[in-house]
Amino acid sequence: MSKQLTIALVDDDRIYQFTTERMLQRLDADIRFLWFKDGEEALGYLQDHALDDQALPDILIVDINMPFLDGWQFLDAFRSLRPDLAKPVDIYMVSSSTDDRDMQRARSTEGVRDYVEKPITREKLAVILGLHD
Amino acid sequence: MAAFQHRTTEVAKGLDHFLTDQPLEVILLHGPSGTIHFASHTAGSIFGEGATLSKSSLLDRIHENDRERVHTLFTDATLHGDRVPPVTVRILRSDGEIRWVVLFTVAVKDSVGKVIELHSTLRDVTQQIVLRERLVERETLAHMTNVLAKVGGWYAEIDSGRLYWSDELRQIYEVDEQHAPFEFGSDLTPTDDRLAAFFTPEDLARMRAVAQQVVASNEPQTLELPMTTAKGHKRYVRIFMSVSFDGVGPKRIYGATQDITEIKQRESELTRLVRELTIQNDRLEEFGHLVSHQLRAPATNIASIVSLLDDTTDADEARSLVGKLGEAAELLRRTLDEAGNAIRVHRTVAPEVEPIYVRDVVLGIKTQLAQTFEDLGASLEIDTDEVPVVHYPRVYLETVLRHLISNALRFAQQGTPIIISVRSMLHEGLPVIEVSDTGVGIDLSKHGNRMFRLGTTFHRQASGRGLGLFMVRTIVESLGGEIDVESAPNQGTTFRLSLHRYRAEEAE
Repeated sequence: MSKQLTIALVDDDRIYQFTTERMLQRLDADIRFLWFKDGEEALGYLQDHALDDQALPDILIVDINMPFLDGWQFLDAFRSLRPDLAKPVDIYMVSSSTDDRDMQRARSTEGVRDYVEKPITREKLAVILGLHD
Repeated sequence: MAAFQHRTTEVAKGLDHFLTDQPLEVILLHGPSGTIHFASHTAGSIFGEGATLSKSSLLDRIHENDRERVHTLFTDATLHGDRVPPVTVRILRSDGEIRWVVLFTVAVKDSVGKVIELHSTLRDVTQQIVLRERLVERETLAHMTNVLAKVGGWYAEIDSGRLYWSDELRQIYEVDEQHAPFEFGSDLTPTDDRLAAFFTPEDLARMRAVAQQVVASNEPQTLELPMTTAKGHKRYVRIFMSVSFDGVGPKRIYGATQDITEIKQRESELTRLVRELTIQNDRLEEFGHLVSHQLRAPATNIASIVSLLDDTTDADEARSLVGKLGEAAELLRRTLDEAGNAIRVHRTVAPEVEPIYVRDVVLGIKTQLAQTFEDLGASLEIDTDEVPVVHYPRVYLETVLRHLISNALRFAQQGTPIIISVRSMLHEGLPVIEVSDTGVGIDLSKHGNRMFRLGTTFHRQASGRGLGLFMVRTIVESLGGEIDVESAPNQGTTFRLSLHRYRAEEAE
C-alpha cells in the first residue's frame, strides 16, 4: 500500500456515510475519505480542485437517489467536467434500490465502473478499492 | 344510404307506373240487392278473366269485411240517387286474389223518377293502396330507425333559402311544435335568429363553410358540434351533408343530424378512466419505489451497523454504533408510518364530502402549530372572501393544508420574515386554494417534474423523507383535483390546489 487512495462518497444518507467511513477505517489501508451530501456539493469540489491531483478522489461512489441533483444528473454534469480533471476518476453507482432498471441503466452508462447495491459490505469495498483481486 | 335510395326508387317507379298506366274502369248495372244485370267487357280486369257475373250478386264478390259497407252504399244510392260518396273496398277475384277498388254507385231512374236499377263504376286502385301501404311502412321503419339512432333529417332548398326539419330532428333539438322553415342567405349563411339559440356564431360559421364545400365539391361531409337544445340541454351532434343537383345547378342540401351526446360522454368517461388509471399506475410504481428504496435504505443501514457491531470490542465504539442503530430504527419507523398513511389515503374509496369553512380549518392548523409559529416568528394571512366554503372531505382538507403550511414553515429563508398566506378563490368557476410562503423556494426547471414524487427531497437543511408532497398529491388527485406549484429560488413557493376539477368537467 504505497500510494494513498482518496475515496469520495456522494450520498445524503448520514448513517450510511458513518458506516462506510467506519468500514474503511477497519480495512487497514491508507485511505482518505471525503463525503458530499449531494451532487451539487461534489461537483463544486471537483471543479474547485480539477487540477489538483492530490485533492481529487480516485474513486467516486455516487448514490442514485439524492436531493438536488440525483445520481444521474450528477453523472451528466460530471461527464463534461471529466476531460478537465488532473487524473482519472472511477465512478461506482450505488443505491438501496433493488430495481433492475437502475442496475441496467448504470451498467449501460458510459464512464460507470459498476453498479453496487446497498448495503456495501466490507468485502465489496475491498473489491472496489482494488485491495483484493 | 345506397340501400335507402334503391328502395325509394322502387316506390317511385311504382308510382310512375300507376300514373301512366291507368287501368280501365268496369261498369256494372245491378239491382239494389246486387244482382248483376250487365257487366262491361272490361270486367275481367277486376273480377278475373272468365268470371261469370251475369245473374250473380255483386255482394258475393266483395270481401266479407266490406260487404256491410257495400250493402249500405246500395241502400243509400237507392234512397238518395246520386249524392252518395264512393267507398274503397276489396273484390275477391275468381282466382282468389284480392283487388282494391273504388266503388261509385248511382241510381238509374225511369221517367217518373222511380229507381229501376243501380249503376256502379269500379276503378282498380290496388296498386295505389299497396304503394301507399308500403310508403307508410317505410316511413314507420325510417322513423323507428331514426329515433333509435337519434338521427333527424333535414334539407335546405338552395333557391328559396329555406331549411326544413323532420320530426325526429325537432326531437333532438327539443323543439315541440311545428315551426316555419329556417331561413338562410344565398351564400348559405344562416340568417335565421332562431338558429343562433342552438349554436355559437363560430359553429354556425363552421357549418356554413362545410355546406359551401359540399356544394362546391359535390362530396358529402360530416362535422361534429356542441349545441344547446330549445330546453337548454347541452348536446353534441354529428351533421352529415350531401348535395343534390337538377339540370341547372345545386338544388338541395340533404342532411342527417345525429345526437352523439352519449358517445361523447362515453369518450370523455373513457379519457377520465385512462387518466385515473395512469395516475394509479404511477402511484403503484412509486409504491414499488417506496419499498425498494425508502424502506430499504434504513434497513440496509441497520444491517451495516449490526455487522460493524459484530466485530467491535471497544465499548465506546459499540455505544456510538448503538446510538446510530437507534437513529436508523427511528427513521425506518417514521418512514413506515408515513407510508402507511399514504396507503390508507389511497385505499379510502369514497370519503364523506361536507361543506367546510376554509378559514376555520386554517386557524385550527395554526393552533396545532402554534409553538413553531411562535419560535419562528411566522405570521399567517388568511383571505377566504371569494370562496369561504368548499365541499371536501374534512380530514383530507386538513391533512393537505397542514402539510403545505408546515412545509412553508420548514423551508423559511433565513433573515426574511416568514409570511404564509392562504387564499381561496374561484378559477374558471372551480374552487382553488392557494398556500404561498416567503421561503427558500425551489428551482422548478431542475426539480419540477420530480416535485410530487415519492422519496424526493430538495433541501439540505430539512429532514424531508419525501413523503409529504407525495401524500398531498395522492389525496388531491384521488378526489379528482389537481395540485400545481409555482416557485423560484429565494422567491417563495405557491401551491395551488384545484378541487374537483374532473367532476366539474364531466358532461351533464
